[in-house]
Amino acid sequence: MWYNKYVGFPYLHLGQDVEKGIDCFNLIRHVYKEEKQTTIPYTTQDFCNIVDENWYTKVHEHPFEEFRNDKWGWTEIKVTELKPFDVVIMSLGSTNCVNHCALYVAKNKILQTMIDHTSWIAPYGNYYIQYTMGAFRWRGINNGYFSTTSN
Amino acid sequence: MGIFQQLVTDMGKHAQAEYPKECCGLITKAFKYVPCKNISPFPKDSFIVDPETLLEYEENCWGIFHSHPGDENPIPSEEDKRGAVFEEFNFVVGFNTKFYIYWLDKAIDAIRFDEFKDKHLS
Repeated sequence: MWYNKYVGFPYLHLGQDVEKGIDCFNLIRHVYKEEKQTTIPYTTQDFCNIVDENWYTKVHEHPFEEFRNDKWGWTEIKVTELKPFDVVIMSLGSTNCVNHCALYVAKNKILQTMIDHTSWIAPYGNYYIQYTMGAFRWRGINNGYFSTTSN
Repeated sequence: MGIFQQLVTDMGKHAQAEYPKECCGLITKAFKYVPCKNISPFPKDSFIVDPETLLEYEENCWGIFHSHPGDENPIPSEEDKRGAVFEEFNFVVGFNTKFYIYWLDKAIDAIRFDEFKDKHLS
């Protein structure tokens, strides 16, 4: 399947490089660029400015809640409406923090990565659904929130 | 050239000149860049500002800069936390034309950062 080539990348918080390491959102961004020729004009560090592999155990911040903010270009959908290339945000583990996102790649399958893992395809069943805080579809960026030269 | 633009230009040139080693320097309270010697025994991966220059500028130091040579996205590293314990100084890291200001968030014992812009000069 097309998504198997995105399996096995090392994890690095805020990383953007599939060889040196990449994190959960930057992996989604990478797939959008490769598969959809879509450039998402921002990276994880625009949501989260904390340098620490274990940042999510230390804070009560909700970086991926930000998907609800219009300016990032996502529309909320129902979990029952998920199609390939949609994104789910999750609150994993014992943290009080929306700390994770994953790419829906096929029926009941997600591509994801996290600390102490390499990227992999997981079944999107009861286990991950219980932690899901929202599902989103890429709409694109409206009228110049991000210029092409912004970082 | 404005003060901010001059500062990041000077830091960028020093970083380029020292490549592939890390460069370091001081930013004075007037936001002038003062290149320093990196006396680290492992200058490709770390930096230690020459203490003599630091002492000389102690009263007039706004911040400390170091480079991440060749890094396209030179955000602070977890190791940079060790050096960011001095509350009296600001810390800047970068390479080429990309620079970040960073600080130790004591509440979570982790580094936070922001793209370095002229609004930070105060």
